[in-house]
Amino acid sequence: MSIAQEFTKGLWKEIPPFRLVLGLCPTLAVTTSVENAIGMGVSVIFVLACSNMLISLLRKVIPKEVRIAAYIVVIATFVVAVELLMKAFFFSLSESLGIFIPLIVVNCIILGRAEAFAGKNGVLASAADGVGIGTGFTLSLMSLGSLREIFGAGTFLGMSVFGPNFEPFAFMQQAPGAFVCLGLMLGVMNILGRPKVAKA
Amino acid sequence: MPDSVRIVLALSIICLVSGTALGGLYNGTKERIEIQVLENKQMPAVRAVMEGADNDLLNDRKSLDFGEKTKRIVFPAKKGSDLFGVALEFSGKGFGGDVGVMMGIDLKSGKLAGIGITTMSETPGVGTRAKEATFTKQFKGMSLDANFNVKADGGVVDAVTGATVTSRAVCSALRDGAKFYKENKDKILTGIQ
Repeated sequence: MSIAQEFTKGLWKEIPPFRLVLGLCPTLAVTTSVENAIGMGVSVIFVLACSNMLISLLRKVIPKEVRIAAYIVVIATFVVAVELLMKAFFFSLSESLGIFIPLIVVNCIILGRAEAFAGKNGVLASAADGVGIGTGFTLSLMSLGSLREIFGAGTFLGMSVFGPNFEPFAFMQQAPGAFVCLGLMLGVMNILGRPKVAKA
Repeated sequence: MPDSVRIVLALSIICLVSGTALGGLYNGTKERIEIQVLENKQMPAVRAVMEGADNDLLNDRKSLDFGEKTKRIVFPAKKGSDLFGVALEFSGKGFGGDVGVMMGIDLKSGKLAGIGITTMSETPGVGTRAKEATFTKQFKGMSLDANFNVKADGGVVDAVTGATVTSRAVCSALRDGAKFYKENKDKILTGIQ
């Protein structure tokens, strides 16, 4: 596969969480607003791209018996870096994402890409894979976040959408709303992505 | 090289590099994070209780030593060159953890200039109402010798309806604060001159 294909597969064919169905915990938890979704998505892109590149660079050095431990150290390093930088420069965002930033360490998308891709492929391809999958994750979070913010709070990125008379559908902002939204999105993705059956 | 040595060495080096890098980053961002936390959590309360101050409340803060291991940040408030108040933070145990209370003291009258809630993890919509002015404004002008207890416990404080635990936490923070201020008044006053 070319570098461009490594990137674009993350946007549709292997888009997490809708296709790979990985990383559901942050997907459900932080998508109460588009802003949170973007913050989370960008953090994941950064961690995923950096850890993929570094792991790919080190793939000949890391003994295969302890590769998972080594991957976790690399990933955790980048996650802590993101956490510190976010606290220093985007404090209110770090307050609203809270525990879900440190929890990126155990996000299985990232460990999954390290194990399934970066450990076996070159640096450029791994970087493209990381940015692609990360972007796909961000787009998924944004679409869920948009749905939940528009209907649950009547706003988009904090701006009012329906005017002052709109009664927000608060259910969408709560945990059950997250599950319902995710389920509907998965359903839509399955209808759109269903392989075409040749007509007899 | 035997396998076991190679494995130990590789993992150790990775951890060492990671630890060093994060240590550096932590030191580099520590000061900025501290200011961010103060600015976003404490400062709104400090500004509210030290109404009328025209100095830079954030940068004029002082960290004072009160005996062993007790450092406290105090916020002096000035109008022109006139030092008129000081704000200190105390905390009490609420329903969902500590409730931080910023206590503003008017230096002239020795009474409370006001209180503000800084941090809390109380039940949204119930305990969090203690943040609202309807609750906090009653403390303005109270003497530090007042009986800081909710009325149900025989004190002078009107509790937030349905949030007695949170109100008690605020009262306990104020009792601690009043006691601390009375005991360390001289030290605080010389410290902020």
